[in-house]
Amino acid sequence: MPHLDPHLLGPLIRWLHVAAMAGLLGGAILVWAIARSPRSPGAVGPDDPLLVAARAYEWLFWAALGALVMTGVGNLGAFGPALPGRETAWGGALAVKLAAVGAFTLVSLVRTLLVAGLGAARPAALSAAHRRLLRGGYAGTALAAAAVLAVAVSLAHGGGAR
Amino acid sequence: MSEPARDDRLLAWGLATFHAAGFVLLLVTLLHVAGGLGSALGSLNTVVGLGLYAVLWVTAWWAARQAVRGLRLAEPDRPIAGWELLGRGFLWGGVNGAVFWLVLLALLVIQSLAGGTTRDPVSLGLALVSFLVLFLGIGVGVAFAVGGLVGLLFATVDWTALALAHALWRAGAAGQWTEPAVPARAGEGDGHGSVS
Repeated sequence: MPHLDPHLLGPLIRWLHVAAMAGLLGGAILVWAIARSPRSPGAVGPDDPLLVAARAYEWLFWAALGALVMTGVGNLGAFGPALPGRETAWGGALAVKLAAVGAFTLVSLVRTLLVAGLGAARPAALSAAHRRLLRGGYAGTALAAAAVLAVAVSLAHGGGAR
Repeated sequence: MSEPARDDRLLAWGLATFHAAGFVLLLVTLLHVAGGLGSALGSLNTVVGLGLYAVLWVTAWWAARQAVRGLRLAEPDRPIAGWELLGRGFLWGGVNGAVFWLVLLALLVIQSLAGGTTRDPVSLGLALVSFLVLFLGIGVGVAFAVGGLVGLLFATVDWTALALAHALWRAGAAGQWTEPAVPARAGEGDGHGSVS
């Protein structure tokens, strides 16, 4: 089986994990900021900057989420049999994180399907209500990602007694 | 590329990654709760684990694109072809399971050939026959059935998520959740004034 120097592989996996989270969280804040800003006159339908940004973010979001799950499992694998069980404080926090990521992923699917629908609907113009919905959706995405990040940082720094 | 095709591609990408990541998350969570996660991950080479995940991601994307092709699921002003989605979810989930199993098998064969010590033709023949019957025949069937059931489960979730997303779109199009009206300035009559 392929064997890479763990001194190289470990930091690479952690770097990808952090970069994916940065893209996911930073992108959500950026789209939320676009949703808050006034719309340019004439920028309607598929050319609406909010819809363009939201669609681009959804592609990035799922790439980042897939990479986060892949590298997250890789990070857990580094523990091997020494991984603390769920009965420990650390293991309990990990269970909470896994459940939170699962719920976040499920809710994010609805947001992505809504954005795809907003682009595919005829006419593809965003109503004020749609804009407000997207603004709330991306604010919620950023807050949820920040909450998961807080648990992840806590786990990375010990997260209580193992 | 037409607009609906572009949005169908986004839809397939989201569904596929949701399926691959959701499946792995579910497995990891169940193993952690059951207490076997550390030993399961410890027995897996990191590079192989990352590679298998990447293979699952790619095959899930391919399968999702086949499953949603022509259904126009992204269009929220059309009824969702839910039963068709369930049927295709089972079929393409099964195909995905079988393809993933074949990739896994190919890796095992390459590994055993690379580390093989026997050159006896009879032993090699017996090994080949048992490999064909057990792993290719029965294994592909089992992988198809398991993949089909997982695909059916995810198609049910997809249908529910689509129904929710379409309901949100309809409510937005009907003007629900509109904020209190702000007097429009000159040349501004598109509802933009409600954005805070």
